[in-house]
Amino acid sequence: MNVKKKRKVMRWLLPMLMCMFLFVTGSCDSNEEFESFDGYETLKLSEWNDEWNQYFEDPWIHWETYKNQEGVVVKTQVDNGWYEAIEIEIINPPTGKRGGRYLPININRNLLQEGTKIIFSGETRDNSTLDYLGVPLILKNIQIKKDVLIN
Amino acid sequence: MKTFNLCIVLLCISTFAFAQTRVDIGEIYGAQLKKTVQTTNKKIYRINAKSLLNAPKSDGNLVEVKMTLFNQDYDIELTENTVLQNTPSFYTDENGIRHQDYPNIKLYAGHLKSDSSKYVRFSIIDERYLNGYINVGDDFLYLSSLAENNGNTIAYYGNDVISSDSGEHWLCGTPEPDLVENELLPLATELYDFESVIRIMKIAADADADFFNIHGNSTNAQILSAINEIEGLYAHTFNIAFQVTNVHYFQSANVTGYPYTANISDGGKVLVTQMKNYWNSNSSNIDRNVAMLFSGKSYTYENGLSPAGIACAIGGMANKSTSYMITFNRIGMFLTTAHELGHLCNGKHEDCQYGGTTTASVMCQGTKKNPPYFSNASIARIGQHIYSNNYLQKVSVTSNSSFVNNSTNVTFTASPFPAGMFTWSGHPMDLVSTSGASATFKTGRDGTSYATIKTASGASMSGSVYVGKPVITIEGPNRTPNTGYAKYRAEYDGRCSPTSFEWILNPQGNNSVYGANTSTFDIAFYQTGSYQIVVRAANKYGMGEYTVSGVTVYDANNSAAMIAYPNPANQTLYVDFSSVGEQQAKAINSVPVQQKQYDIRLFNLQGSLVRSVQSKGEQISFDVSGLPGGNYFLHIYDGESQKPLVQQIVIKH
Repeated sequence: MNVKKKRKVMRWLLPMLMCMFLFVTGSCDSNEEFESFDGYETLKLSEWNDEWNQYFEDPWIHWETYKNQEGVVVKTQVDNGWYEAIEIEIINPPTGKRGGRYLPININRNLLQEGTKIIFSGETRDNSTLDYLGVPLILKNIQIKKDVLIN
Repeated sequence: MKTFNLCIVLLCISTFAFAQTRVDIGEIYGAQLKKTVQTTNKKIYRINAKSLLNAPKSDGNLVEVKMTLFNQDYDIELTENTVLQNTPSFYTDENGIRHQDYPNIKLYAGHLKSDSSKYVRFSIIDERYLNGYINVGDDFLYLSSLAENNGNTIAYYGNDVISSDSGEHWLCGTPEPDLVENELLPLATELYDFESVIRIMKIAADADADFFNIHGNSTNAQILSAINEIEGLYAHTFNIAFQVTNVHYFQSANVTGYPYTANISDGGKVLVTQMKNYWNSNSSNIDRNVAMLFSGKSYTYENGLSPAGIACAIGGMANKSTSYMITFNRIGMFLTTAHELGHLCNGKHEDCQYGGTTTASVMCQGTKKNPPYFSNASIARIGQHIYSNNYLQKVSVTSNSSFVNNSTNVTFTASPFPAGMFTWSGHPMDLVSTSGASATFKTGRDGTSYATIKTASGASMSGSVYVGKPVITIEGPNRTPNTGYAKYRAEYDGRCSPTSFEWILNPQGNNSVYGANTSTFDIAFYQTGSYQIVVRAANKYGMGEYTVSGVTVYDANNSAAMIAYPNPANQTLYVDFSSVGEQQAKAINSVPVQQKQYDIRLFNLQGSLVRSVQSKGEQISFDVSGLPGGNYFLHIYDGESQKPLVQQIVIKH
């Protein structure tokens, strides 16, 4: 195989291998299935905004992954009360998982009412040098108690 | 006459009270605050800062004040933090012209009178606005006076800030016991030379025009106030003293060459790069370990995320070209600044957990309120970085002589010695005089004497001199079998240069001694009993002596006899299962001694039980001082053997 042909093969082989790798490792999440919980209703996540890609770029790093994790919607006073943020507080994190409050990124926060119980899956990201008031949570799935769903 | 005495007493009390000044504080109800802190409990006070400013100073510029806050009296000892207060200060005006600035600020550092570990930091800006904190043990009591609030002071405890997560829900990282167990970090208690060496961190600070727009002409004072507060944390954790080599602010962004133009919608990435480029090319002459920018910029994403601070690089302080950080203005910004400074010294979010609990610490990320403590994991990681990379200047304290006689003057010198940074004290020596970086002491007692320098912030270290004749102790076993050698060693400060030794074993009996004229003494014990060992050492200033009594020599062939000591006993009888060694432990049985339950009974010669003790562990002791002198039998049951081990005990008063 000459060099030109080799490059041509690589052009489609590499992306295919990458996609297979992502599929195997579970990061191709569009088809990921989530367990449904009685009394809970799945909320629609926001369309992906390319701005949010920054959370997966240096210096952002993985902080914690949650699957079917219980949480509660809380209002957090930010910057000593200058404004309020809607956050998700982890309830009873499994052993070895970090607890905390996180800012859900890819959802319309108007759908989240303070005090509501939720079950969610997703990943939180940490920035090691740029310090924020708030830690972003990228949701893969979120289910909210049916009787408090806000239209 | 009685009235006269009462007057004298009252006069004494009033004279005593004069030394302590009560800070004039009045609570205000219904005050309208333009800027506040969300807490479950806060009080608004009108504090007359001048009552603190005018408080009389004792020797050493000490100010003693009493403050009543939340119905609690706080007796506080303060000194002016003159090193930070006298920082070279500048500003660049709206025409781009640089001027010297004279910030109207008093900085205080100190501690509660009852406990020097509970440190206090105050600043008074424009002779009116008092800010700072009191470490009240497991929490900090904050005071925040702002011009926006008409100078009223908000007082609140850190734990009452409701903008923070609850204690159980901090965004904490790996529990520090795991880090230690996995040998990722040393134990914080094994922190190199931090207790014995002061390190100086040189800080250059700048403020952008946005910060000036908030704080006006008090900008440099606000920066120094924050740095004074951070220093308390670093001094009490790492024995680090701060020296601000330069503080400056811009009055306007519309001047040629203004460096901080970026907005912070990217979290501040561009802004920190601008800062880095500006400082690397324009301010290389400013002596510093770190450059801090205080910014008044703010930005909140639609999702609520808001930049709080930036460190140029984790561990960036090891290299001047990466030692930059930014703090964005808010109440309590000193903790964000302390956090970013921690990053530059290699502090990481994952080490934020405090003391093996779920409580947060300074290095926690994303929280709305960092408590003012470093976790042990943070202390270990930051400490290791500072120690290994050696970027902070170490202070040394040396004396003009290492070995002198009593009642002699000795001069100590501290280097480097930034003006006003250190005060001297001696133990057990009297301070005679100070001159520049040196202090002269008069020695007063045989042994090692210490000259100590201390910063207003609480960082301290000592140099020492050896004084007079040898002060010695003995290192060696106080229980030993009547087989083999027992080794004893004279312990002393090597600088006392002993010229001769003399050891005495009393009574010598049939035992053999070796090395009676050297610093070590070997004894071949053949005879059981109780012995006294004496060592004497002489140098050119005289002879010192030390005696150990009650050295017990037991019969190696009688395992029971090895267990209880001293024998004869006077006050306390010890029963020690660990020191008998594996062989003797096996004589009782093969279960490890730490896990065994022992039943120990002491009988007199008439067979009456006079003491009974149950124990699990390696050693117990019990009081025999109330028993009449004479012979007794100690029975030791291990719960498994039917037959006890028996040891004859003599009680002698």
